[in-house]
Amino acid sequence: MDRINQKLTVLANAAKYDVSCSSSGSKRKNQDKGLGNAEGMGICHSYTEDGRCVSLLKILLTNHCIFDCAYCISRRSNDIQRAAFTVQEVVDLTINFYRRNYIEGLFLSSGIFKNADYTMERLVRIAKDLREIHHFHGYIHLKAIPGASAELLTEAGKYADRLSVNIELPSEESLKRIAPEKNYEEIYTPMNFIREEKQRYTDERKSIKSTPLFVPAGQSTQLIIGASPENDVQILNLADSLYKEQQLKRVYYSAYIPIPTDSRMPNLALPPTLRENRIYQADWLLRFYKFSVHDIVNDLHPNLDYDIDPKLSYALRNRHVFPVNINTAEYEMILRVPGIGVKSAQMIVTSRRFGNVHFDHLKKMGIVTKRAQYFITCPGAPAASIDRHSSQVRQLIQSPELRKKNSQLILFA
Amino acid sequence: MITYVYDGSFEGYLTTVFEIYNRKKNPDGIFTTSTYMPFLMEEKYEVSTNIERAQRVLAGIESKGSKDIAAKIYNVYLSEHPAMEMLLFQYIKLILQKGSAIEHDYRQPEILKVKEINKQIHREVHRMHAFVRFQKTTDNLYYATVTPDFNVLPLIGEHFEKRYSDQHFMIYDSKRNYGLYYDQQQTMMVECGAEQLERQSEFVAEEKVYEALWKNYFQSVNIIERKNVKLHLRHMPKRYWKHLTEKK
Repeated sequence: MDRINQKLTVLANAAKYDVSCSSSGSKRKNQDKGLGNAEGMGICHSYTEDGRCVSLLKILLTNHCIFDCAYCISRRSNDIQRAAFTVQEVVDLTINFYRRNYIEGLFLSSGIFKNADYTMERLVRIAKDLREIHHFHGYIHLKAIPGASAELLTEAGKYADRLSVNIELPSEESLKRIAPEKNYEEIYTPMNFIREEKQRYTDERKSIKSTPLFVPAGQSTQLIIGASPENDVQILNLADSLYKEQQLKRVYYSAYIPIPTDSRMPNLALPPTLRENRIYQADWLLRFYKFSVHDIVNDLHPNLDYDIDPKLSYALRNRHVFPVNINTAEYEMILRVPGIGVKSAQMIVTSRRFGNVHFDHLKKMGIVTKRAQYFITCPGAPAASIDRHSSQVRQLIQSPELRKKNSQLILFA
Repeated sequence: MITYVYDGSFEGYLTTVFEIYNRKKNPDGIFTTSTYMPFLMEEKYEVSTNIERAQRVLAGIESKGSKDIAAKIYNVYLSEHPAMEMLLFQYIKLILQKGSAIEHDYRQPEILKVKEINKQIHREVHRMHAFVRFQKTTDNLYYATVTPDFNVLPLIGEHFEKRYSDQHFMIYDSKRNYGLYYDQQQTMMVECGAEQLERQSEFVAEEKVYEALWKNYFQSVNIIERKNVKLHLRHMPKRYWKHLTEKK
């Protein structure tokens, strides 16, 4: 057991920089009294001390790798301990963790050993054993290894709930510089293939009900933030096209954790987690708040404002579309008000059918009126608020710590 | 001052609602036999639970309102919220008067409150889905102890049954002294004697091995450079730690 424990330490540690941990969106149900059920909402079974969700057993099959990508801890030239699981070891860990309700399933990735197909074949075999020998219906996320054959990807798609190919660097120039053995074509080829296959299966299902599932939870990818010079417009435009054209379910962003020993990489003191957080907020505005990339960042404002969230930043730059009348405005406009989320916007829209919604109602519904007051009109709203200048509103809304920090900056400047 | 006292069961509560309408006497307070305290000058009515009357009330709620509204009412009942009886009575009255559409008028305080309590219940249900940790006993039973904030065991059986349909399991609420037991056929509510609870604390040898592996995994996926204790605690409040293998 000590050996397994050692392998687990090395191969979980090597996998943790892949931030995806989603286990939602699959349609796989338990059948014939088997083990597990992946339909419906994902569940975070635990949270690490860095506050991230633990939903899946996320490990590498091996951290031996023939590539030398500068951003990656498993790069060939890095002097670290190497390990490899056997197929049976991964299967046993998955089943036994799942039975104890530790996890929703398995997220299996791998360093590239020998070649793409050799690696992909082993990932597929583990998924196949889990499904066919152990009748496991929990969630499986596999990495699609760039360069793997179409046959292997098709097989992977039948056993996995999600497949992902990580883009990592948000432009091809950066990728070439930092990961010289990779290129965009090799990344987009499997992504396109999986998208087309999934579409084919979906179409077939419409006429033949017994068509098997193919990657029911879709594809995702990851972008590293701050390891290369791309600005936020470039990153968000890339994400937007991945959602729209590649039909990805999720784009994950991972703040670059400095690797001071490699000259190809920038030397930062800390990972840019605040920037990562602002990009996630912008990503949510794209997916759930009906914003376009241009609303959030554009040539005039190519980067997100790190002091305030992107929705507030938009509102302060676009005072001409406010104030929004709570009792008459379109749902889309209500969604644009800082301090009003998707659920509260829906509550407003259903409630106002019965009569006027007052400022006091908003407070009770849980709307952050401290923010919203500058951008709305409704009976009982403080009238002076909407006439305040944007710079003043910004000052008033900013968190006390930030105000303190800024005033200190001014003091010392 | 008119007070109603019932036995604490959901059927008892619904019977109370029936009696209120039947007697045409609105309550100033509704209590269970264990929360009841006598008042001076009160008119007290003791409700005897009647399944048929309870079902008539439920049918009324479902037809004037909806199945979903009936489920929300049951959730509020399970919340054990101290003022839950009077709140639900006001809520039921609204629904019976105005029909199902009114449940989306969040300007009404009772409607908002019922929504809020339902949100808390759903969060607790979700936490149970997440934080239950089974240990395998020498009787081949996967056993877990929980102490949820609300009485949510009746709401979580289906989820675990679907997921672990090939294993015996028990989820035991040690605060309310009963458990959900699944025998690979059906899930039932059971009470455990001291002797049985003792048996359920004897685990197979491999249990320690997998617990150690899980703890190791939990440590290994943490990124030290990103430490964020505040976020960690928000997602995993300390009161749940005593049942979490990785935090014990």
